[in-house]
Amino acid sequence: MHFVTGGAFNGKKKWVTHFYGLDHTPHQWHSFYNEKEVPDFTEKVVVLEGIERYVRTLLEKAETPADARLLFKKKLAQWQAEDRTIVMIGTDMMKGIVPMNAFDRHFRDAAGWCFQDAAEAAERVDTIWYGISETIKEEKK
Amino acid sequence: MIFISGGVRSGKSSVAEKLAIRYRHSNGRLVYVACGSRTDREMDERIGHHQQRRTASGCSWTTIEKSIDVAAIGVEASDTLLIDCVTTLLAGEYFREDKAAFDADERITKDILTLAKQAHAVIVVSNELSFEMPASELTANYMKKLGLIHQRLVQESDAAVLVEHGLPIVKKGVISCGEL
Repeated sequence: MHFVTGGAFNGKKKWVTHFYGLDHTPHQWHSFYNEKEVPDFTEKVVVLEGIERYVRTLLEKAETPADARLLFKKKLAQWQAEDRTIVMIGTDMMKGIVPMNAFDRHFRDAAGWCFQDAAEAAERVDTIWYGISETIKEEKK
Repeated sequence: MIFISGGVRSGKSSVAEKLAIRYRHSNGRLVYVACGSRTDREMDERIGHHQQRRTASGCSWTTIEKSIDVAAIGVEASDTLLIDCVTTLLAGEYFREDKAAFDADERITKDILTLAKQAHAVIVVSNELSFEMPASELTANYMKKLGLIHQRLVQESDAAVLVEHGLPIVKKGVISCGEL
């Protein structure tokens, strides 16, 4: 798996499209901004956009951020077992001031933990700064 | 063109000024393009702080205040411009009454690239986008526009630098950081 992160509006989607040549490669692009649930995978290359939004959905189902994290870890294990290239894109929103609203605080906590798990589960992690990538993890093949 | 970004009080303006001095044309002007509008006393103090530092640099700067239509400042081919900064330009273009907000980002990108073609060198400064959940739709829209401008400027720049705690981190291109 490949985890791509960075702040909002930094060109993550564009970078992934270019990096995997998605303009001319069959792939499945799933956006959690449009559809809350995980789809059935159909292609060799699967992009899951808006991982933080998926974490939010899990948090709505779970009681606590810790429970949401457990649900997310289960999903990660399933995705890891797939014989496909799975690219997770998540927006980093963990560097701002503490939100006033309790749910937003829990959401941010859950997203931070789940992003750590996503990075742990991925063989490769890139952060994107205005279209420029920095590889912060890459396992030897 | 060099793109410089950083947080508030990260030291980005200081780095930008040193780079402008380093890359200036020997017979050309150093032009400081101030894009913020004077709205209150705090803004005056911020401006004063920057002016003092430019005076202390020992170089003579020409200051031009422009918060909209920045391409209209009138530059000479030997000028080195320091545009400070994209966020205040965006505020100017976004909230002006005679033009639409939706293409404010395109106007700014176009203006800056025009200046980059006309001038000897352009150093453009901006603020890092925050890594947090946008508080409102307006904020989200403003952040999106700023992000799009940053992506375009980084793409077109010869070098792009992120300044953190006064330290320049070169993200694109080659810049010797020894005296920054």
